[in-house]
Amino acid sequence: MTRTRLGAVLVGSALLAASAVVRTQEVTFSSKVEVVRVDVLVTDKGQPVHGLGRSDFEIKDNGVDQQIDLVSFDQIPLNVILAFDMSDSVAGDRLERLRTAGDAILGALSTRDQSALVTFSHAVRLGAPLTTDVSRVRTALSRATGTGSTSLIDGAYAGIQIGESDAGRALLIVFSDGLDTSSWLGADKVLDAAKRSDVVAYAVAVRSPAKPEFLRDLTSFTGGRLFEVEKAEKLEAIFVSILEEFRQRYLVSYTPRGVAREGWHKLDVRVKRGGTIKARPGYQS
Amino acid sequence: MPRSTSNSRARRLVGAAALLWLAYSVAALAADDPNARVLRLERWLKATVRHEPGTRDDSSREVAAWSYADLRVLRFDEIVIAKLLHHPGASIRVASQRDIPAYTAWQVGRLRDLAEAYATENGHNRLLVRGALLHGDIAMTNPATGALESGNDGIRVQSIDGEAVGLDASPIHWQMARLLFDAARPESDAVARRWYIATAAWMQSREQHDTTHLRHAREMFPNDAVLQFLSGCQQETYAGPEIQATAKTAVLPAGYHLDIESESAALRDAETFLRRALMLDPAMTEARIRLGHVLLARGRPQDAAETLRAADTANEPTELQYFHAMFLGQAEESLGRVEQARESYTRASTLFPRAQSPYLALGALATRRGERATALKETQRLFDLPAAAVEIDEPWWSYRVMQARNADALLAALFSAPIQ
Repeated sequence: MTRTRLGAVLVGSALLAASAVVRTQEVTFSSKVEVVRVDVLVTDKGQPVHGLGRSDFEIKDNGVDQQIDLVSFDQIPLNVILAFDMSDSVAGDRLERLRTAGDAILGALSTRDQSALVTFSHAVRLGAPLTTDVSRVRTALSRATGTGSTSLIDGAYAGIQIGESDAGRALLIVFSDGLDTSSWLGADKVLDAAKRSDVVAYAVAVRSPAKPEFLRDLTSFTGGRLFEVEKAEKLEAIFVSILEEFRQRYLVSYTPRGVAREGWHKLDVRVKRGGTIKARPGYQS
Repeated sequence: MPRSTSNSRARRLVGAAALLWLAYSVAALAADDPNARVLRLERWLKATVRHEPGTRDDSSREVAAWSYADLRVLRFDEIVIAKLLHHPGASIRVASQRDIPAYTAWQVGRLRDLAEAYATENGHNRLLVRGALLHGDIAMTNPATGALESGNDGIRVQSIDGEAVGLDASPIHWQMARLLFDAARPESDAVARRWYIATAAWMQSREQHDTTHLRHAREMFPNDAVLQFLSGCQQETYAGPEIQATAKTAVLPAGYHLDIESESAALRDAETFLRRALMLDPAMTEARIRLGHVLLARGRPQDAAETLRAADTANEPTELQYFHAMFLGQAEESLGRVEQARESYTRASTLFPRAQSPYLALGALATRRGERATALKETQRLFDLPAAAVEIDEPWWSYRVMQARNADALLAALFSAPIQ
């Protein structure tokens, strides 16, 4: 937000405006069935618990026991959506580390997984739509540059919507290092969208004077996790650990019965044999 | 100024520096050389006469180069000479003021000679106004204020993304200009009013926030609608996340404090100022639009909707029509009037087809309604925006400086008019 930064923004705008090539990208949206899906991480003494089946889980929807239709583990391809802060503060070394971390997570995807890139400074842009072509996302990430202010909340909303655009299992990874200064949307609206979504959001926030309250709420409401780091040096390891953790999650699905359709549904997920559960606390319908 | 033609350049001022100025804290100042003191005053008088208002010329450069300590003494001497210009026979208080040494008999005599000479040649009020314009020009054209040192009356905080990244001395020239305009009252009130409006707008356009400047302006001109409007805009900005975060986290030297209230208090003050602006000038549509936004932020969508519905934006700049549509949409949405909200957001998107906020708003509205396909369609429209165009065509990103879009024009008009 210095005058120097203003100059950089203006120069960037002028160059972009002068470009004769205008690039648009497409996202293909598909419909979704009325089934509730809950991503559940089960751990015992910090270690993921494997080998659980349908009969091992119990789910209450607004206090009403539900019949679980399906429990999947490591079977459904992932849709990994990267929503990265590309504001001024990310420029330089931090951007390089973010690119490296992004490359690492893309490199850890299977051929069936899809990935997408959303970048946000003041503008929200689709760097690459959901695709199994990792190189396309890598290229978009390599071209992204840090400039401008921060529309974190708008960017997170766009990431959620990409997750909602495909029936696959969506993991949203948000990275930001600053205060939201230019979003149009309020946090309440985007959190509402998150509660209505099956997307699980993980977030990495570089510590700053601004507390990452929005990211804390976003990850909490979606059953994800917030990582607060002092510097961007450990981004690569954190990003890979997020993917590894997500792969350890069970996808539990059921068709709601005996509950009102509208409103907030409080979820209570349990494993009969015990263990620590991490799942979204509910959903909005 | 709220009704003037929009300036597209203002919309590009995303990310300008936010400089917060502080209330006073007086500290010690070393004594000055007696002869140098009067000589400096004489040089200032010459610079004042020679300076071309609105420019950075040799005269302004000379005065800008003086140290903070020298300027503090000069500030005192200017008030004395102003008094003598009005009343050549007036007594001069020879006792020292705080750390500024008392005048010697020779200095008193020289001050009287200078006052007599300059009053005869220039007219006393015109000289004071020229002096005020000189100091104001230095404050605007010499952004460097020097390192923070013991004795600064004020400091300013520079912030980036809500984080304080630097402290330096606040430009004493603004205060010197205000004192000279005070001394030229009431004869020069017309030019003073225009100067306050233009300079307050200039500060807001550069995101250099000075609470004192507008407070003093309101004290001088309590019934000026534009000053009330700018005060409301200032408090609205103070309530924003960036200024609030800066105010909470800035580590200041002992004895200083930031003149920034909490978010809720700033919004309350913003509402008060904007309502007063509208009371003084009910046709000030921009104040009505801003008031609507403030009321939304205060959690009063019904009041906001009524305020915004009463705004006639037909002849306003397109950016204001856009803000009006977006804020009204937000108010209608909060009141559960979905179709009206959708209509408002759509109108905004028609005004600025390459702005991203209407698509975000329409998408989020659809999401809340459970209209998934519509939400995804609006998101697709957002992603379809050409990357280059969206950079320059989103009024929301410059909302915080939009009210000051004609600051440079106001200054140009001020400087081109003859000084009375």
